[in-house]
Amino acid sequence: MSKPITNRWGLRGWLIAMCMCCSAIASAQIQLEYYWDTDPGYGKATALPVSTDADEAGTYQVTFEASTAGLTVGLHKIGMRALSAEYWSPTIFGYVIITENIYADRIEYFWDEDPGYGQATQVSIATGDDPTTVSFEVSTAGLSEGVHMLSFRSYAAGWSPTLSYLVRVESDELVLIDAIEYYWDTDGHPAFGQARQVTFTPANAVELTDLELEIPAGGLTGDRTLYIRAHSKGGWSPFVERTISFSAEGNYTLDETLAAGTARNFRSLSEMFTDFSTRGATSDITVTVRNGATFAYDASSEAALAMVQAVVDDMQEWGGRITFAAASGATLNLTCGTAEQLQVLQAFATHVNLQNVTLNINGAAYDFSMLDITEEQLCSGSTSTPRAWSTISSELTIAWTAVPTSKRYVKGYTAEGTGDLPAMTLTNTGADYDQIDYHVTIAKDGTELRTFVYSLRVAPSIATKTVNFTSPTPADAAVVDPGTATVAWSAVGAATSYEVTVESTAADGTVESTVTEQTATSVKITVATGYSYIYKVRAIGPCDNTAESQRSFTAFHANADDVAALRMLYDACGGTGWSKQWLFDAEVMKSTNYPGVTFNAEGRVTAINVTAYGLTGTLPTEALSLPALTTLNLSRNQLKGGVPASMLTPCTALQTLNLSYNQLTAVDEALPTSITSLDLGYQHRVYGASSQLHDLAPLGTVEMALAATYGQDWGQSTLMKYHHTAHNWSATPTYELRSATLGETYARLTYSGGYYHLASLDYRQPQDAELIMAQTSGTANGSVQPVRVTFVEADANVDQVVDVRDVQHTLNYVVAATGAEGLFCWSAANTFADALINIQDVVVTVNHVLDHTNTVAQARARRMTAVERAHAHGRLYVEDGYLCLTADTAVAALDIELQGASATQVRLLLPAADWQMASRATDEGVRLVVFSPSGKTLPVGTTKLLALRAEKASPIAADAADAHARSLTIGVEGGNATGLDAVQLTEALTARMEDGTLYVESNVECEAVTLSLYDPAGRLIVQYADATLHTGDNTWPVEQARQGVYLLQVRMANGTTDVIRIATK
Amino acid sequence: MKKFLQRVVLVAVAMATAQVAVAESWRINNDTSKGAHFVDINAAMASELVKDGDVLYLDPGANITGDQTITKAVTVIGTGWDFNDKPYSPATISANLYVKSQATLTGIKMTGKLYPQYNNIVIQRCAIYNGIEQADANIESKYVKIINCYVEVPTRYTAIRGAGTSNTATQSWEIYNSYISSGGNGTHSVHYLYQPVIVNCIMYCDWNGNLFNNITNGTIKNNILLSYDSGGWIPANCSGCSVINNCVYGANTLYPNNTVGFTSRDFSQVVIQAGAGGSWMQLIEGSPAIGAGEGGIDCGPYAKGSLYPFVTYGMPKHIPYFTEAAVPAQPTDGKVKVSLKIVNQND
Repeated sequence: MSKPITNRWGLRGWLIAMCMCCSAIASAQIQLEYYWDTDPGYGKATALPVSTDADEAGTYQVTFEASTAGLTVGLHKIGMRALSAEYWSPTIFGYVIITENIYADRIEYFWDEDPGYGQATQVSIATGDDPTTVSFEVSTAGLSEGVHMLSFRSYAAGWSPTLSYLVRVESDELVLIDAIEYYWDTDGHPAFGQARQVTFTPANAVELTDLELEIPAGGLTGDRTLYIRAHSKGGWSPFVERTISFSAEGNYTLDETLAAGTARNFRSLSEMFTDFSTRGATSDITVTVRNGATFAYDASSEAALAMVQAVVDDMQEWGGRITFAAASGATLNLTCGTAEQLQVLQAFATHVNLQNVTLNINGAAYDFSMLDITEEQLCSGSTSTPRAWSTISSELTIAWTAVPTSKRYVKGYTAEGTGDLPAMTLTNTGADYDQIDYHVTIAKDGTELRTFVYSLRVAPSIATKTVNFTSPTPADAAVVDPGTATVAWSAVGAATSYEVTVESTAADGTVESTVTEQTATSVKITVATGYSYIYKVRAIGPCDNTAESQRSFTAFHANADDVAALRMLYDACGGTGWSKQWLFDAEVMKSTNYPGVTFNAEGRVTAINVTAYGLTGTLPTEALSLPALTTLNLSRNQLKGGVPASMLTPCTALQTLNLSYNQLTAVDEALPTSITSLDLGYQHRVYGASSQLHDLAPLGTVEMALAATYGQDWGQSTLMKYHHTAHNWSATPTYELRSATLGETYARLTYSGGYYHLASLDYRQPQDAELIMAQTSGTANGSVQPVRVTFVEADANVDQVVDVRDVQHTLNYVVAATGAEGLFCWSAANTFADALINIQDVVVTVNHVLDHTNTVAQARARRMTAVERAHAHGRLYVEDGYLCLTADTAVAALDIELQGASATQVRLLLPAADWQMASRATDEGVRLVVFSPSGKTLPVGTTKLLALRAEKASPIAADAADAHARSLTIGVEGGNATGLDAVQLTEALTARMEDGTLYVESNVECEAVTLSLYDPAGRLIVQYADATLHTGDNTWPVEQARQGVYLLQVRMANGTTDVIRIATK
Repeated sequence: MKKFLQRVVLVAVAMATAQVAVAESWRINNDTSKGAHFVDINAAMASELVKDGDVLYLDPGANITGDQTITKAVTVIGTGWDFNDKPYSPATISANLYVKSQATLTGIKMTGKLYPQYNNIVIQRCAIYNGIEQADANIESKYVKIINCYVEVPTRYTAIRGAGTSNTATQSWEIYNSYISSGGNGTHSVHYLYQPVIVNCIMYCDWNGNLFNNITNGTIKNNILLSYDSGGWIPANCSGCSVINNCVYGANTLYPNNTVGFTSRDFSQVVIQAGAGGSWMQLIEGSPAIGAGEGGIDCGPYAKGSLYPFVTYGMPKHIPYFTEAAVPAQPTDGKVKVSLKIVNQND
């Protein structure tokens, strides 16, 4: 090796730096001079500039450079002196060697240990030059392989520092593999180098192909382990270890004419059995028998039989067979003595195949070759090959039994039999392959020699099957977007492949067809605009059975008019803000450009389903020209305003319209009659949040007075009233009065008999409560209407009249009377205005009754005819200074007006423990309310109610309630008009309401009469002033909106006023 | 008489020559059915037949268990390691191995810990999965050479540990062209060594430990150094160390003469991580470790121009090995024919 060495040791002296110290010289100015070798005399040497400043000790420090120019090589003397004032200092001398430039003239190196300067290996270099790089080779002779320290140094005027480097020394010699050896485990694991050597050419890499290994003399039997290892001078490789089975195998000959010891030849059957039994017979073996030869083997001896038995055992364990073959004919004669020996030989025969060889056992021929055929494949409906198993040997019996699989698809087989297996026509009724396994038993004299299984495998027929298309295959006649359509189908039974035919038809009628065959169960079809497609998949099964199915689809295109209509709807309903937007300007026209829109094959829109897309604004009034549209679902959006019929008019095919969960307020025009399914439900309701409502302000608030009945229109929106089937606004769905958050239900409105009836009342809200009326059935089910609810204080039974029935009704509530009937308004009954309904509320209610004019009772009393009085529930009269009640019904509470008496002139005769009476003075006398806080009733018959201390006291009106707070008609007797001409008026008039008409029957003629009709809620609904009453029926139209008691106030010209109660149903 | 004496002397010399020991080769295999000489190293050491200078071969597939101790100056040759494409299985020492003689170990795979407890031990081309340790200050084990080895430890252990910062018992260990990996908080790749030389190695610590700790007068150069320590690769307590020409993670003002090769804790910025044995830990194309070593050689174990370029699979030098062996499971017509490919490990 070589190593470049850099040599930089040379002396280059040009100027020699000198230093002088001059001690204190008095003068401040001194002169200096120097000379080489010969003194030229004071003041004549080479002068030097000098500093004028001395240090504190008066010493001058002078440094100068003395030129050596002109000096020869060698030793020179330099003289130096100083002049101060007029005195020269002593001359001082120095000696300087002047040399030439000096370069290294040699280099030496050594490995590892330093032998000392000059003692290392020398490297000569040229002198006199200025070498900066020196190259030379360093010998590694004698060094061991590995890392060594290489050191260098050079010499010029002296030795340079020693430089050291670590160097890895390696041999250039390529180490070769010089030995390969192997041994068998039977060799006893010889030492390294002592095994069986392989001859090869030593090399660094050795490749040996088909190296035949030496097998120890006598051969190897059984499983033997082989070890192989290689060697180089570095040592031995890891060995390769393999196990080789040395059982009998492959090809042998049986030829007695060949020399003994001929490889793989047996000269006799005895040799053969000996070898096979020794080695083991675990593989298929072929023994070629000399043509024309006959070999015999006597298995009578125990040893001879044992060898056969060993071979049989191996064959049975490993499944191998021995094939004896001859060119045209040969014979093997096996003989034995006992029956047991015969069984062994016969068992051997079952493992033997014969090719032009006859195998005789004790003279009988055996040939089990046909047992090699273990299976036949059949098509369903074909006939199997018969098997002549009886020819195996006449000495043996053959019995077979069919064993079907659990599928049991195969039909037509013979269940069991003996001897030959007949031909059979077999069918497979299933979708998979199935087979019949014949378990065949070969026996000799009842002793089983061998069993084997012969299978008839029958392919199914798929001719009766169909190809079932699966997702994502387009539906038949579907519209498919341009691009790629995937057609997939379920695997068909035993189909082995599928033939796919795709026929495409262009708009101009051009037809193209492609046919492919594949094993996969799907195919992709390229879909182009303007084309229609028919695809057929034909499953091809075993035996060329086929099954097929066919479908079609059309490439998507959209009708331009329909797209324009979509655009109109899109723009009107804030399409740019939808969660899924429609793409009207897309490069490729695809159905997916219009999410939620379904087109038919003609490109017409058949359905729009944009539920929850975020539609806003109002529905357009422009015509939505979609003649093929059958379904329009705009539900769960934020649409407001009305439902314009004009938009839908062109949608003549529209059948389903779903506008639920929007904020629509009205249906002011009848919608197309083609619609058979209409959903306007849940307006102003937030989808998925049952208690949340949208802004209800657009709906307005309906003022609602609690009443037992209402008309069909109680103020609800036209959307709620819209009756699509009838094409008018007569819908009468049920409603529920709920809290503002819909969480609580206070009442239910149900419709019957032309009126809404209040039901299930549990109302405990204050006056003017802001509540919600929620529709609970019908087309607009779930829609809501804000209502502000009022009630008549003390009107517990919400009949709009505060009377004695409210007293009894409240009392029944307090005492929790059984059998109490009718609605009970808790809020109205809570007249004491606390958190309870108790006797205090009853008392206050009584006062309310007394505060209200008992116009009903008065009117009734004053108009009641004798006949009517006779049919009343009771009559009130004065007799012997007592006010008596004769009733045919138990009376629970009474409201009595007396004339001619004051409160102090009457005394209640009923037990004070059960009855109380409240009174209020009237213009004519006194008004009394009698009730029982303990829930007692006045019995049927006559009861003395009051003791009267006024001679002229007489009842002029009475009202009563039974124990159920139902109204009782009580007639009064003995009273006269008290300055009110109303008696005449009352008797002259009767009134009723029928079919929106007010009938007032009069038996007198009157002029300048004013009629005022109040509805059950107490609202004035009509007033006719300056009317003329003729005898007979007088009629006026009225709007009869609800069921209940209407009050007709009649004011005569002279100011006489009466009120007629009109009960409607 | 004189002539007789001369004959006697010659005979004596001849006898003396006959006494010169010739290195013997011995097989070791725990599977006694394989016909090896000894079931383990301890048995070989106990045998009078095994002398200094002998060679002990670990059989393929051998699995030596129980603590082993080498007490003679032998060479122990394993099968190599980290391969699965050879027609034999590696031998494994599944135990701790105490080396109490000037032994040489090569091509050995061991899952226990290696305890070098003698001077001038050579550990070459070995895979040691439980680290190397000589923490006993009273046992002299100087000049241990660790060359071309794969050394790792389980979590929270130090990969190579000596007797102390300034303790000369483990002075002058030399670690060349090896992969040394430690793991675990507070552990170190190399610890407590005096005057170690660590050249052309990959040193890796996958947790918050130091690559070097308590090292004195060490020479650390041409290495690839990556630590997950928050301090990066900084050798802690590395007094008097020369730390130059390494490819490191993060700059370091204390040791400026190194190349910043990692900008994050990601080995793939410098070396190939996939492919055990062959391409594993070779430098990636454009690796910052290329030419970053002293004298312009590469950093890392495979560097050309370094003293011991890494040898894959731990194949012992100059030992042949089989690459293919096609041996039939059964003779064909009574003949056994095999096909072999054998290569001598010259690198």
